[in-house]
Amino acid sequence: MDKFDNIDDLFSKLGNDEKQPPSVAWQYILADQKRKKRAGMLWCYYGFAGLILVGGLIGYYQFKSDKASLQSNNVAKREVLAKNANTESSNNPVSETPNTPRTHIASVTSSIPTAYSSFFSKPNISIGSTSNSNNNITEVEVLLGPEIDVTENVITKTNTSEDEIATTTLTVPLQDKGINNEEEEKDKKIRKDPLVKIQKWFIEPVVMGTYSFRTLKGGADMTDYINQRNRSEVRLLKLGFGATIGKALNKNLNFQGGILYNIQGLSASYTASTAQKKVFVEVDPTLNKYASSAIYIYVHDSVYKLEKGNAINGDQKFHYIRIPFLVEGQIGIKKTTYSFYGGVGVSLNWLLAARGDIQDYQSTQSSVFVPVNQVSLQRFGADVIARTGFLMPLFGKPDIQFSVGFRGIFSPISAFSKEVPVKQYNRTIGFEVGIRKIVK
Amino acid sequence: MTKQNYIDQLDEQKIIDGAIKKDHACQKWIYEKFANKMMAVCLRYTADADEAKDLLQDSFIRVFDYLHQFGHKGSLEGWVRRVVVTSALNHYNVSKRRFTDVDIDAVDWEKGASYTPYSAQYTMDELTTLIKQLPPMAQTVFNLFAVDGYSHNEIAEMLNISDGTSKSNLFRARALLQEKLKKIEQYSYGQV
Repeated sequence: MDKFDNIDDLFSKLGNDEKQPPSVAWQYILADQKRKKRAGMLWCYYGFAGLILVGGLIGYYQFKSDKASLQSNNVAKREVLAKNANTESSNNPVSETPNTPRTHIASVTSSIPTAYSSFFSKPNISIGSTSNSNNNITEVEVLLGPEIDVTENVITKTNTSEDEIATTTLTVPLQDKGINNEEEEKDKKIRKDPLVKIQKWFIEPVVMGTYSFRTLKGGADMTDYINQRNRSEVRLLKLGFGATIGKALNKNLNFQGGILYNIQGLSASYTASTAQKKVFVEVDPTLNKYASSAIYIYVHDSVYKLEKGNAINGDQKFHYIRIPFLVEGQIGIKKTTYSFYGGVGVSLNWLLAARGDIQDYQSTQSSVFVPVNQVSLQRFGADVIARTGFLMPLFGKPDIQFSVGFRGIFSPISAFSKEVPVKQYNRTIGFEVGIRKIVK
Repeated sequence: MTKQNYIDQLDEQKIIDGAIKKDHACQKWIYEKFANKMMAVCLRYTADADEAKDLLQDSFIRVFDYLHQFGHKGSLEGWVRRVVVTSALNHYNVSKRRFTDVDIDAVDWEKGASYTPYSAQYTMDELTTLIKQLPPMAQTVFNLFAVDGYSHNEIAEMLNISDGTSKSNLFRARALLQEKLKKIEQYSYGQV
C-alpha cells in the first residue's frame, strides 16, 4: 500500500461535502439570465442608432457637396425675394398692405427646407402666423419635427487663405432659430477668430528669459565652454532680446530669421558672465496641430569671461557655427488664449567649427533634448511661451540639463496683414421643437 | 398544479431541455439540486466565502450558457462539477494570484513524509482548512487529484504544466498534509 493512500482517502470524502450558498447567489444568476434575454432587444436599438448615424454621415457628405452651389443659390434666392417684394408692393398694394397679418392655424409641410440641401426633406407640423410689413414677410411658427438647418456666417480671419469651414452638429434645438436679415446677421457674426493666427509676413521683437541648471559637477574642459549646455555647472540665468522677421509660407511651414543678443549671469566655478550674439535662420515645418518640428542654423559670436583662478585665465573669444536639428512630437490642447503641450523630441546639435583666441576647435557634439511641456499664453497681442525639458548628451559625459524658459513674442507690427473674409457654414441636424421666426 | 410542482414531475432530461430554452424554473431546479455541492467545491478552490460565492455565480452562469453542449452524456452533476472546476482554474489563471508565489524549494517536503494518519477523525471543515494551508499549486493539484478525481494527464492539461510537475506537487502536498496532521495529532494527544 502506498504510504499516501490513507491521506488521499481521508480527503476524498471532501468530494461529497455540501455547503449552503447564500440566497443572493441565485438572484444574481437569475438577473444575469434575464439581462441576456433582454440583450436581444438591444440590437434593435443599435440598429436604429446605426441608421441615424449613417444618415447623418450621408447628410454631412451631401452637405459638403452642396457647398459649391450654396453661394449661387443664395444669390438667386435673394434676387427672387427682392423681385417678389417689388412685385407685391407695386401690383397688390391693397391686399398686401403693411402690417397685415395672415394666420395659418395648422399645416403639415413636407419640403426641402433650404436651398442648400437636396437630400433631406423636412416634414414639419407648424402652427403660426404671417405678417407683412414694409415688404418684409414675417412668419412665426411653432414647429415640431426633424430639424435640418443650414446657416451661413461670415467671419474674418487675419491673413488666412479663403478656406471654407464647415461644421456639422447633431442637436435638439429648442430656441428661436430665425434669421432675420441675412446680410445683417452676417455682419453681426463678423469677428476675428483668435484661434487662427497665420501671418504671411511678420516682424516681431523677442524677449527671452531662461533659467537652467545642470547636474555635471566639475571636470569641465574647453569643449564645455563652447557647448551651450555645459557653460554652467550649476545654474544659468539668461536674458535675451532681439528681433525676427519671417514668413509663413502656408499653414504648415514657417520660415524666419533674426538676430538675438544674450547676456548671461552665471554662478559657475569658472565663468563669470557671457555675452552672445546669435544670428539664426529657422524653418519650422509643422506636421499638424499635434506635432511640430524645426530646423535651425545658428551662427554664434560669443565672448566668455573667465574667473580668476581658472587654469585658463582671461577673456576668451570664440566664434563657432552650430547647427541644431530639432524634431518634436507633441500632444496637448490648444484653446483660444492658451495652449499646453507635452511630448518628446530629439534635438541633435552639431558643433561644426570653433575658433578661439587660445586654440582652435573643430568637433562634433550631439545631444538629445526631451521637452516635458510647453505652455503658451496669448494675451494682449503677445505670445508668452514657457517650456521645460531635459538636455542630455548622446556621447561624452553624462549630464542632464533642466531648463525653464520664458519667451515673449510681441506682434505690434502686422505690416503685410490684411483681413480676409471666410465663409463658415453651420448645419444643424436634430429634432426640432421650438419657435421659428423668419423675416424675409 | 404550480409550475414548480409540474417541473418536479418531469424527468431530468426534460428539465435540462427547458433550461437550455432559458426557462427560469428549470434553471432554478438545476441550481437548487447542485448548488450545495458546488458551493463546497468553490470553497476548496477559493480563499474565502465571498470569493466562493462569486465563483459559484459565474460557474452557474456558464452552466446555463453552455448547457446545450452537455448532450446528455454522463451525469449532469459530473458535467456541472467540471464546469465549476474549470471556472475556478480559469479564474485563477487569469488573476495569476495563486501560482505566482510557488517556490518549490521553500519547504522541506520530504520531512514527515512517512507519517500516515490511521485513526484521526476530522470534520470536513478541518480538512478543507488543511488543504487551504498548502502552497497554491500544491493545493490545486491535490484538490484536482485526491478530491475531484482527475488524472495527472488531465491536471497537466488543465493547468498547462507537465505531468512531472503535477506529480511533484501532489507529492509535496501529501507530505505537507501528513506533517500537519502529525503535528495536530501529537498536539491533541499531548493535551489528553
